[in-house]
Amino acid sequence: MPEQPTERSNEEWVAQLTNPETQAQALHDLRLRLQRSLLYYLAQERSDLRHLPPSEQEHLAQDFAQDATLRVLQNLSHFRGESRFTTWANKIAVRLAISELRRARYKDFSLDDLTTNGEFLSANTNLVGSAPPNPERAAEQENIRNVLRAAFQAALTPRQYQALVAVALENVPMDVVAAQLGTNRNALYKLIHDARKKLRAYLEEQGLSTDYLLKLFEAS
Amino acid sequence: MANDTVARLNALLDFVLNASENAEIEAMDCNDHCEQMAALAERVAEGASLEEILPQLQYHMRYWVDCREEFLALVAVLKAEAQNFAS
Repeated sequence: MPEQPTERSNEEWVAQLTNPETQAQALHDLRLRLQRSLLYYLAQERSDLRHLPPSEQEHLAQDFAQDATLRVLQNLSHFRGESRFTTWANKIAVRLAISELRRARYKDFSLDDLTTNGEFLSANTNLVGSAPPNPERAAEQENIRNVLRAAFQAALTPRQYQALVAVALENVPMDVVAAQLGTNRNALYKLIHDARKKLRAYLEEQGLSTDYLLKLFEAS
Repeated sequence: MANDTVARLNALLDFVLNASENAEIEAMDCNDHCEQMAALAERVAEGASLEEILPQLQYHMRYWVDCREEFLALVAVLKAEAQNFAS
């Protein structure tokens, strides 16, 4: 039967993790608890990892739990007791595991592949003529695509371009983008918001309203 | 292919024009040790509706997929933990 971690109150967790006499046992129990959570997450909630043999899932869970336990310890002074201690620790563990899995998945991705010439907006397919029921609308879409391409080139810095295209269009995780830009998630939010603001201003200057743009490209 | 291009442009425009920009929510999402996200996940795992507790976070997660993935993963783990991980 698997070892069951001892239950503790929030106060007991903090006290025992900071007391040299009790720390080793508390760390052991915390690691065990996080390992159990992570194994569940990897085996049951990640369809992309279900093909892994159970031993490999367990190995991953052990590694992540080990790192997460250390991170919990490093952040212990920030814990205020707004949630259960174990929920807070699980949050740290889940985030760490997801971040590591994202990095592994995108290990060959480079932001440098996203050139700043707006080529993602000049797709090989021509919108005109591709929607026979409404060629006028397709022509209008083509026109706006050209405006967007110009907007991306004129309004954004290369860094803003890469961040926005990677996150909004290519669905590259923010952790991966932030790491490649040498920044963090908080700064990446700001970078992308600044880029969005510039684009909105550019489109507004062209007399293009939000409603018009969204309706033009919404699914018919 | 053309439909795919139109869908991508629609998604891009929707993001540029509508994505959430909420400093308070982003602060909750930006560090390891923020407890607010943990406390919210706890309530959602116990059956509360995020839409009712904090609709701004629900809206934020519509556009910011990293935050959504991490929050939903935590909720799933908490629910499983409450059942002692019985599948």
